[in-house]
Amino acid sequence: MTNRKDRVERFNLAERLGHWSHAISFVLLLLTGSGLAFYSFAQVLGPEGLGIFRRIHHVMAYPFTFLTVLILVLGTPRTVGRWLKECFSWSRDDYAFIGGFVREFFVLPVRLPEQGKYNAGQKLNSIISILGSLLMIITGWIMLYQDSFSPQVVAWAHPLHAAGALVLGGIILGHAYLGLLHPRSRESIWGMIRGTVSRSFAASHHAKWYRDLGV
Amino acid sequence: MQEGRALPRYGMVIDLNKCGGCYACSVICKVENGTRPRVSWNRVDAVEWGEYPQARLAFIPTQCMHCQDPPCVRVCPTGASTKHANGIVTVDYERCIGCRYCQAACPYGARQFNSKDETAFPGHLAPYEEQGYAKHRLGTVEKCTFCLHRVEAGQVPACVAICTGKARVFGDLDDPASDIKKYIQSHKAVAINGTSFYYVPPQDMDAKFLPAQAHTPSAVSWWMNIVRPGGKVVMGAAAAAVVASLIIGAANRGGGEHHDQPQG
Repeated sequence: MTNRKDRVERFNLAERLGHWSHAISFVLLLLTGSGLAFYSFAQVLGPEGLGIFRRIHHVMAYPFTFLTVLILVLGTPRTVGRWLKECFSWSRDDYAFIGGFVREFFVLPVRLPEQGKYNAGQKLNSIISILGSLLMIITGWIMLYQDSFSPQVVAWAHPLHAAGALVLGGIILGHAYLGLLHPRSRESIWGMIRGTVSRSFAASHHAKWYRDLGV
Repeated sequence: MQEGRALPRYGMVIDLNKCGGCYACSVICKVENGTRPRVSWNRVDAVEWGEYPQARLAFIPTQCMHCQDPPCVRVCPTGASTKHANGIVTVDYERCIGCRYCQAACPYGARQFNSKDETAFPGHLAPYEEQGYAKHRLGTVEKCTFCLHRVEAGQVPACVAICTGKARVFGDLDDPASDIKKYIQSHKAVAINGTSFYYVPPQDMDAKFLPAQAHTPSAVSWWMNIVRPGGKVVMGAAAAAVVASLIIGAANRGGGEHHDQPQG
């Protein structure tokens, strides 16, 4: 928490650690896995490089599967509960936000409805990340322990794992861009680094949440 | 290879009427290729049909079918699995990283993972193991090579040489004068389409017992034809959207900012 009065707390330490453990393990998995998804990349790496990538990929499966959940469940169970509840409750404002989001993304003039702690895009990103990660975890571990599964199950784990990776990979590009570079939303990165955002950002981007904070 | 003649296209006929189920092919395959315990490139399945007194039994040897368009080669990320010009499909153990994609893609279950550092006899290596294990690396996928090393030396595969009933015929499918070509014609051998294999089944045996025609499993078609290109489109579209947004944002710098003001 910052002492400066012009900032409000957005994410506590456990939320931020959980986010970054997921982010770092995911990006490393995406990078090391893409050698196996894009054969032109595989050719550049060669069998030896690809073998090293594969070993890193398998090591990162552990933090990706367990670390984030552990941090969140042990560190901040209540805010996680609130986050999940918010993600799965959708109002008219949320649908309107999604409708206007394309213009927002391309920095075009748009009027977006007031949002809670998570805007509808962040909710959608959360839902896809949770379901997508589950898909990656299940299909990934099936491949790691393929001798325990029927050949048919293993055969389908491969395309499902690749599909999940490529969709999540496309989404993380947009997610990272919005958080780091997008002219209207890049301030949000500080919520995930310092844990706080400015009052003006909170009021303009998450008006409902900011009002309810009452600070 | 003679000049003016195309490369051979190797294939095999197995005459099930002559196979007595002695499993000599399975055994000699292990000896010739020095495969680990529990790794077997050459299988003999027994099938039964009919009721006493008409009950029948046949033995169906199977191995890598050396497909014409092998799915295992398509999914291999390192190029370790290759189809040679002579039709033989092999695995280069030096390039294999053990991802086992090929194993899941093979419609015949012909590929096996060499994963366990086991020996057939506790405490010491038999001479065939010593020679064989030096060639194979642990953590790689293996399968029948049609004994490429023997074929290149002008010999037939070990399973053909050992076959007690002379049930196996090996040779060049493109050479009309070859023994295999003549055998296929004279015995009305059934082609397993898309592979390098023919079988001569007993007269009353249901063809369903024979290996299926070569096919790409639907999981592999989805993976290679839909997921991969589709995923590239998704990633490319996301990257293009980010670039477009960056350009628009730079073009109307300042213009975008006033929309950040508190609403309502």
